[in-house]
Amino acid sequence: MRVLKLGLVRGLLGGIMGWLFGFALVIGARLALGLPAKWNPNLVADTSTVWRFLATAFAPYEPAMVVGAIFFAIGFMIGVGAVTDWLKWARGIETPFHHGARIPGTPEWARYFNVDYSHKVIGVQYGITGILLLGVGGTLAMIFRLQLAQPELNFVQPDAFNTMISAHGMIMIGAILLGVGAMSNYLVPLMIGANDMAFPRLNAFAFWINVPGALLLSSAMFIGGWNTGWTGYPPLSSQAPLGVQYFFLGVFFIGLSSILGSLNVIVTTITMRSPGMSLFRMPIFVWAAFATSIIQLTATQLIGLSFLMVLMQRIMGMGFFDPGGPVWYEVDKWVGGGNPILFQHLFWFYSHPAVYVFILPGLGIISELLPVFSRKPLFGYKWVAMSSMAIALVGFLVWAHHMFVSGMSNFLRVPFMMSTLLVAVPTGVKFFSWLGTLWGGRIEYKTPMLFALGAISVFLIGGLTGPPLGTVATDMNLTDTYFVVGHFHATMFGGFVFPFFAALYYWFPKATGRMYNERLGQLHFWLMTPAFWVMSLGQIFVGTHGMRRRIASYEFELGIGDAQMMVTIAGFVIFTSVLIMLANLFVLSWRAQRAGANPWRSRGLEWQVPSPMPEMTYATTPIVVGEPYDYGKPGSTYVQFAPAPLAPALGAGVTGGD
Amino acid sequence: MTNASTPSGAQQTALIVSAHPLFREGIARLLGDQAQVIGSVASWQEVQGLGLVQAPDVIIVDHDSSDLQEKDLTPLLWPDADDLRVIYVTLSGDKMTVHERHQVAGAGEADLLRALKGERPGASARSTQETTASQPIYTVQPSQGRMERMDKGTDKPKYTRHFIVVSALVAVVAIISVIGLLAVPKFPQASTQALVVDWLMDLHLGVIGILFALVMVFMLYSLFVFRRKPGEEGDGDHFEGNTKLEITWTVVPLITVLIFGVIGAVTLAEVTAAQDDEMTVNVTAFSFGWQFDYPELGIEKATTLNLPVNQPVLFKLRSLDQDVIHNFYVAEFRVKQDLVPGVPTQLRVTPNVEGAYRLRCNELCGTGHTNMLAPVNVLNETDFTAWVAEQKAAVSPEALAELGAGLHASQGCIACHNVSGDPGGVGPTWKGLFGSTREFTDGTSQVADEEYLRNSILNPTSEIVTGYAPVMPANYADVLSEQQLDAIIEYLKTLE
Amino acid sequence: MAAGTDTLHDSYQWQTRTNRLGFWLFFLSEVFIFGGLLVARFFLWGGTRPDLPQIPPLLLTVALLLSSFFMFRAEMAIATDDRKTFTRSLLLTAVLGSIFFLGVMFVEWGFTVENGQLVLGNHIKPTDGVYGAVFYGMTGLHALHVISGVIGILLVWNLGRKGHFSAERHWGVEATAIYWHYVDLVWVFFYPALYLIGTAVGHGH
Repeated sequence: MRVLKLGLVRGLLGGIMGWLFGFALVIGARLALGLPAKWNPNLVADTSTVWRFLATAFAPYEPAMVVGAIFFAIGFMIGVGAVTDWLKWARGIETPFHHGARIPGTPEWARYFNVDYSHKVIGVQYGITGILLLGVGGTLAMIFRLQLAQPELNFVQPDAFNTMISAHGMIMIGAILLGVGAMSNYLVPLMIGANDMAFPRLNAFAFWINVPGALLLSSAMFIGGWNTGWTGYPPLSSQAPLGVQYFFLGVFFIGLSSILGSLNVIVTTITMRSPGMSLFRMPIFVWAAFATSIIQLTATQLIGLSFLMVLMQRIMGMGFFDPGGPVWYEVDKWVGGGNPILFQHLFWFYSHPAVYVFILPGLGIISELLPVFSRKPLFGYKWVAMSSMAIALVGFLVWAHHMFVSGMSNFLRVPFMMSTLLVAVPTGVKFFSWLGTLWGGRIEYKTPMLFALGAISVFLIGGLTGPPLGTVATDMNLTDTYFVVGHFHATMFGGFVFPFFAALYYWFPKATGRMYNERLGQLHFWLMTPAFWVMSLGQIFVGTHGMRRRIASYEFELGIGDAQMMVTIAGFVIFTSVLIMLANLFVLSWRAQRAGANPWRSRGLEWQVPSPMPEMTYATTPIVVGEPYDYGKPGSTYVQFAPAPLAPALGAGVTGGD
Repeated sequence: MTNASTPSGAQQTALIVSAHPLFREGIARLLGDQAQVIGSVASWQEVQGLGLVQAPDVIIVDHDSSDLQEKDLTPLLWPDADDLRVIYVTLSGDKMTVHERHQVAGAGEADLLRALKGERPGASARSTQETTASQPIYTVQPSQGRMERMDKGTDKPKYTRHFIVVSALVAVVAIISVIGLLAVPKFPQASTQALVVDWLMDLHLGVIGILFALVMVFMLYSLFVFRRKPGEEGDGDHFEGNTKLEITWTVVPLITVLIFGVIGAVTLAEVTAAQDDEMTVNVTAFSFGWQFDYPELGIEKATTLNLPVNQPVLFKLRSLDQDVIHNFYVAEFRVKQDLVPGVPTQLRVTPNVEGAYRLRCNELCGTGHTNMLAPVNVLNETDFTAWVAEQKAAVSPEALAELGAGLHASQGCIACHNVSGDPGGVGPTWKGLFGSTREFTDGTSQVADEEYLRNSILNPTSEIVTGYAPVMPANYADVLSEQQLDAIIEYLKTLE
Repeated sequence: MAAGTDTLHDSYQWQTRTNRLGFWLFFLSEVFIFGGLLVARFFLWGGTRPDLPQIPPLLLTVALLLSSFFMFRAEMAIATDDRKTFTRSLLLTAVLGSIFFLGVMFVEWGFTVENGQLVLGNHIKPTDGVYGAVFYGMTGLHALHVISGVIGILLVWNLGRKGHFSAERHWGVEATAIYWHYVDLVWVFFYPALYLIGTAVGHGH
């Protein structure tokens, strides 16, 4: 069967077999030990509808479900072929490395459904999967925003509503991580003149592990859902329906992807730069990806740990966060056993730096695009590069600002407030650098540039709403209200969504050799940006007028119905505009006119090779001889594709005879 | 390859590059015997080839030859390219005008230093021409063999007019923004804390307005004034940065941040300060309702939060041990605090405006989170005292049913049990419940009398009616007083 | 195992250097998960610790440290082409490592029978409040790494037996060795945190 040749299909089959194996393993073990198959005998399946059945039938078998999910991921990865080479190495078999389609005779498009080692293919795989998740998360938002458009609407059941907002949050986070992975994996090797990443097999693994992760996360909605929000705080999460476990496990695997992928980016950036490319001659995006990767590599472990601890609390009774559990010894600070606040410390130690993972690459894209379309150097390149590192560093020191009213020790509030406000300084350096880059330019308004500019305006709203949340007294009013929702949507859109779209439009001609439709691109921009402004300002306004977050409806008397209606409509406009982009890029462009090698007249390395790029992007080693952003200086060269014989004569990076 | 690294002394060798033979002859003539012309070529390829062989000291390039404008000089980094100078000149009549000077150095700190000082490399280029004023000097990093521009863009006065216009616009927009932001109607205030919080928020709004204006005006101004007009070729102004500016816009925000940090600490202290004469109210949250105890007044398990105006209150907050995290928030009071199982917390509020407000749970706690509300009334002294007295009196049986109706809403029952008769809720409808025959999931059945009702409130999972799930919270035994339990049952009796 | 087909990045030396960098970055990442558990231990136990028997964990610690010595010996042996010592030392490492995790599972954790059911834990159970939770959490995560390390050692042993690895090319051995020493190092921190630091409280079962 030809469809079985697709890795994705084999992966799904392997995953299902793994799941069945894991499930049976636990049930079998229980039965062998004389225990009943059902872990919780009080839970009975509700057979009234298919949905109710799915939501209730699995709950009594929670440990089997968890082990099943783990083996689902293992089976998937074996089935898709992401571990084949490594398993061969364990048996001592050499595996030659090759570029291009793995199975001779399969069409080019099949590469994207298989394990492929080319970073360009992997980048596209990340990107497409990310866009798919954006669609799922966006659809969920459309549904619950319908209910919130007017006061006291209740057509969605409360538990279903809570599941939807929880799923929306984490699926969007997954989409962002995938988008970040897309940009890093696609662009970093191109920009440093490398033909691939340092560890291509690891790269493929890091992409594919996202698929079982995303599937587990999405399926959580159907096996009982969960009502904890994307933050999963115990004790609520330790009491939540079964869906919370698949939420935990889905996040675990997506997090694993983050860690492995970022490791690759760091090593690649350190070891595979072209001769002549000193650190301060790298394109600024590589700095952004590098800073992002440092965060991903280290902090992600903490969300894995904190979720693992709740998972174990649920199935093993290990009461880390359960104050009312059995007591071994009564600690005088709190009654009983565990402390729910510990979870928040561990969780936010990742989840705050995570937001810098979400935005640093996008801010790097803005810094990358502005010089090209203003035709002048990036203002203060070194400062901008350092600001990414500074944001990453300071970002590790602020996590407890999510916990100002959590009941943590009061004396911690002031230091965390100070560190939180401090992040504004390197962020400001970026903003002012963008202004300096635009000033005195010769600006061209193509769609990528429009989205970069839109990103700045939207990120500005997000950034400016940060300090009121950073000072504790005002945070005591605003935390957990829609003000926060407005703040983080603005920062997420400004720091990721807009720049990601800008990057899609910008590199689309390079990747495909075709030019997108500029008019439709402009239409997308002019629909999405004003709509987003309306959505942000609306959310911020209602948050200061009594609208809590994570609620299914609100009272008439708050008087915010009109603002909420505008927020919902804005959301629909944004959704529609994104559909226009998808139609533009993925449908209409197939018959579009061909784009040349360098339609944007960029100095970047990848623009000096043909579009679409050959499998081996750089046939000869690029030698960097100048600055990346020296636009406006006639005769200044960034890179030289010197013929091979001259290479040894140029001292940079090649230290003459290895 | 020999190299004439001493500026004077040995004769320099020169290579002339131009597409025009006349130029080549003219230059050669001008040079006379100041330099030995070792070659006269027409293209860069020939330069490369000749250079490898002859290694000239200076290359004289025709500035007017358009195809020599591509000044990619890295091919000239051939081995032993010490002290190579490249000069772009135009020739008119007998005058050679130097337009650009480049120096390629192969080794040696001395060369680098000379180049950095902007010193002219040697004698030969000096004597026979007029030099134009602005010539970029290139320096070389010898060990890396690359060329780098040395001059940083200086702040030329050509943007002065623009800066004046932009500054004026920023000022105007800032004023409008700040006024506008401060004018947005605020949610009503009802506590002394609200005054502090709103004051700080206004301060924030002021800074937000200014920064918003600064960034947006500069951006929009640039987008309009510095756009590429149709037909315009060429690039933008080439400046790479300005260290003074960078330092300024790092230090000024840093100072601002520190000031806000201090203000933040001071306001936090103000908002959380212990007052003399505080009244303690114990707040217990459960899924999904609230319970208030006034230990100093001897009132227990009240379901409405009544407070006397201008009386500082210390709320002692706790969530039941097997319960989840909730949050105490009255929007008019402007402060909130989580209620965490096992971790007692506190919140201080001094309500100062009489009125009816609402307490809303502000931390997602499950199914009933949206409606986990309680009425809050800030009363004058007389009314409050009357209410206290009322709480302690016995309640008549008829009033019990009314009390029960209120409890249906305030204790979270309403989240799952409707009174309309609709069987599709999370829990069975209360309409017609009392006295009906209940069928359970284990096959048994029972008439719903008072004892059954009491049991199904206090031990909700002991018997489950078919078609419903065992999800009712089990903590009502801790939450409801005997009177409240009676009240609910009385209420149920009235729902036929 | 080349990164690409450009000659700059094809050599074994380059690939090994790069692998080494990757490996150390992976360990940096793992510091954070083990560190997180240590934070949990100090947050939840403060200056206390569960009162547990001391001799068995001491012996197990000795076994683990000894195993690291044999791992080091194995790595030195292959670097000097002493294949006999290489295979023997690897096997000893695996044996000692197995003693460790089996000891943890059956002596430190142990099983009891309660109400006719097999239950995990004799001195202390996972359900024993924060003490049980942190104890099993830390020893469990560490044991998982020990087991995977032993599997890696056995795989390397098997490959070594079949003639793979040489004095110049033994990245697989080096990687396994670094991993094993890392696992050992984590235990050097976990052991005092679990058994030595703080006032012993509570009661054994």
